[in-house]
Amino acid sequence: MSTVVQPAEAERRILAATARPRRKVVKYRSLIVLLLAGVGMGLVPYSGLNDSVLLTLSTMFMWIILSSSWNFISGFTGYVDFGHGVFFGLGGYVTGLLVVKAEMPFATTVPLAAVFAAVFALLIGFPLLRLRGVYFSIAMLGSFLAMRELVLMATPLTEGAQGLVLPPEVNRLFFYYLFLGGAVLIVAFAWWLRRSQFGMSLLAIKDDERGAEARGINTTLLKLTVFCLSAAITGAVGACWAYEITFIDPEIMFRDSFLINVALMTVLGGLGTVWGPVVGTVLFLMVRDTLWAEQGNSFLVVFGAFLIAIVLFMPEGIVGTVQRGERTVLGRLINRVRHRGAGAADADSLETATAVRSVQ
Amino acid sequence: MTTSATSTPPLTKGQQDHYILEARGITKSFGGVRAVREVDFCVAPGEIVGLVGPNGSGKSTLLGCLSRDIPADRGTIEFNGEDIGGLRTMQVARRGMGRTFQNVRLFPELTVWENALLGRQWKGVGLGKLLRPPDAATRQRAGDLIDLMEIPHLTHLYAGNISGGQMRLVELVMAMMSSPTLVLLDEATSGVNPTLIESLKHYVKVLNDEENVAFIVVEHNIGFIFSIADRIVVLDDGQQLANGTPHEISENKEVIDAYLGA
Ligand SMILES: Nc1ncnc2c1ncn2[C@@H]1O[C@H](COP(=O)(O)OP(=O)(O)O)[C@@H](O)[C@H]1O
Ligand SMILES: [Mg+2]
Repeated sequence: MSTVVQPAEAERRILAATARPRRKVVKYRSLIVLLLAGVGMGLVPYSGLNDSVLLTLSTMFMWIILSSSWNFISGFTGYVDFGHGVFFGLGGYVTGLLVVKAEMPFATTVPLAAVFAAVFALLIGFPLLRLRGVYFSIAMLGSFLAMRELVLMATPLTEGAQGLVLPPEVNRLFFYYLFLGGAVLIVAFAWWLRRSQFGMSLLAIKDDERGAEARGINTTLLKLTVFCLSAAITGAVGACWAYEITFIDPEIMFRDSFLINVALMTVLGGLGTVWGPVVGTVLFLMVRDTLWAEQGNSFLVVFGAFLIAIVLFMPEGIVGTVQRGERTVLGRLINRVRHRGAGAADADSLETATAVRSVQ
Repeated sequence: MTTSATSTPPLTKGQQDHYILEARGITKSFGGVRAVREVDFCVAPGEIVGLVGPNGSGKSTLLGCLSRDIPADRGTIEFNGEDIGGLRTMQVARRGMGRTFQNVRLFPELTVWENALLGRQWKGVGLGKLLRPPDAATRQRAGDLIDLMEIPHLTHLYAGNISGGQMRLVELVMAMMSSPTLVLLDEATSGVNPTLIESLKHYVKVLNDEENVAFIVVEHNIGFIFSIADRIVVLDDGQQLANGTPHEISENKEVIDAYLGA
């Protein structure tokens, strides 16, 4: 192509045309916001707020980690996993058993729980990730239900429905910082992933898996890797949570609500986006807790209607609608409001600006 | 010129004494539909072969078999001297066969720039490299090709939000990214406006000249085919009806009756 375009010149022109050499501040805006939020949250325990607020926040951080890691396989890659709780439960039981029966220190058991969950993911992922669409979702749901029953029946090892009692002394502040650190790390990782060739390939698999193969992308390897990664993170969180609550049984560790929660949080915020699970988790927990306080269990009716509205009007979730808005009515409206008065001269640069922003 | 199904086409370009693609006896049925029957298809390095025929004559199916996107029922395929009959389409792509599809296959949730990058050569890109953004050489090539196609203003738009004609250009960029030796174009001009068709023709010629890329071009646009092809193969009802230079094809009575005259 040498005589057609001077390579250096070509790259320079592309960069200029696409505003690639964005100022570092803009490029890393997400990370800066993340860091500030992390530091801010790190100071909260010193502000004299009561323990119940800290517990609420700590729970929120935990769900940010869980929904973000679910987002890797279900949001980025498009393999909607309706049984991801199986890894949470397994992680919890690995730590529970090792701490109670083998008297291992908690810190040692967490990596083991992560590895165990990843190995289990590898074993079931190999056959199940060949299934497309709803078949994968159902097969995962099956794994979840079967595993819960198995843990319940394996009484000699797991004590079945009687459950396991873990050491009672728990440092709440330790778990606050543990989950906060984990949440910051996983969002930073998601940010990085979205920019890497790995993340781009995962989105390609979601959009058109056979098309991705036709470009030479090793879809089988990438799917398995991200599935194991997601399982490992979920397993590690399950391990920490089991230790924090000091008592586990199959009903607690393999709760149906886990499956519903991660899916709703991520869909609400935006599948396959970096910030979607964060926004979705915060909003989900706030709405749920507010409604719960006011209406008790009938909050589910209001909540259900709220979710139907979200799916109807924001099928790409909150973050997805704001970023890729050109595809929905509401998104176009948001885009117009956002750019009103921005003084963008021509539609072309406006569009480019939107797109640039959305990839950040 | 020959019309028999087992003929070997002439080597039209240069003094090459080998084909980069040599397919023999390709056969593919869908249920009762015999889409491709005993077709031989050879391409010399740097050759532009036009593949024409009425709708449903098996052109897309044949391309699918050659790129291993569709497993053939019978036949052998050698690509750059290697038997690729048992390979997956991913492996064929990595060996240097790029392609576009009749129904454009871009990734709508990724930007044009990211789509282009995903067309890269994936051979030897392990997990460690995958976790990083694409290397400078890959970005350079994407930049060159995007510049060549004159679409730098599109790079940061989502691929799902550009026009059909622009999508075809982006797909051509993707097909060229891995520095292929052979590119299959399936109806690359359909839905593309006349100005863009001229550019498309220009780009195919440039890439053919500069990088000696061979092309198999499936087209309905006869003018387009006759102006760029070194050789034309006519398919009819899954079988090869004719195979020759554009001049020979334009004077072939059988072809005129069956196809061109219509
Ligand atoms: N996936 C498929 N399933 C069933 N029949 C198919 C499929 N793909 C192609 N065909 C049939 O094979 C024949 C050839 O189709 P195709 O290769 O698309 O032709 P062309 O590209 O020349 O228009 C047609 O009769 C078509 O209906
Ligand atoms: Mg076709």
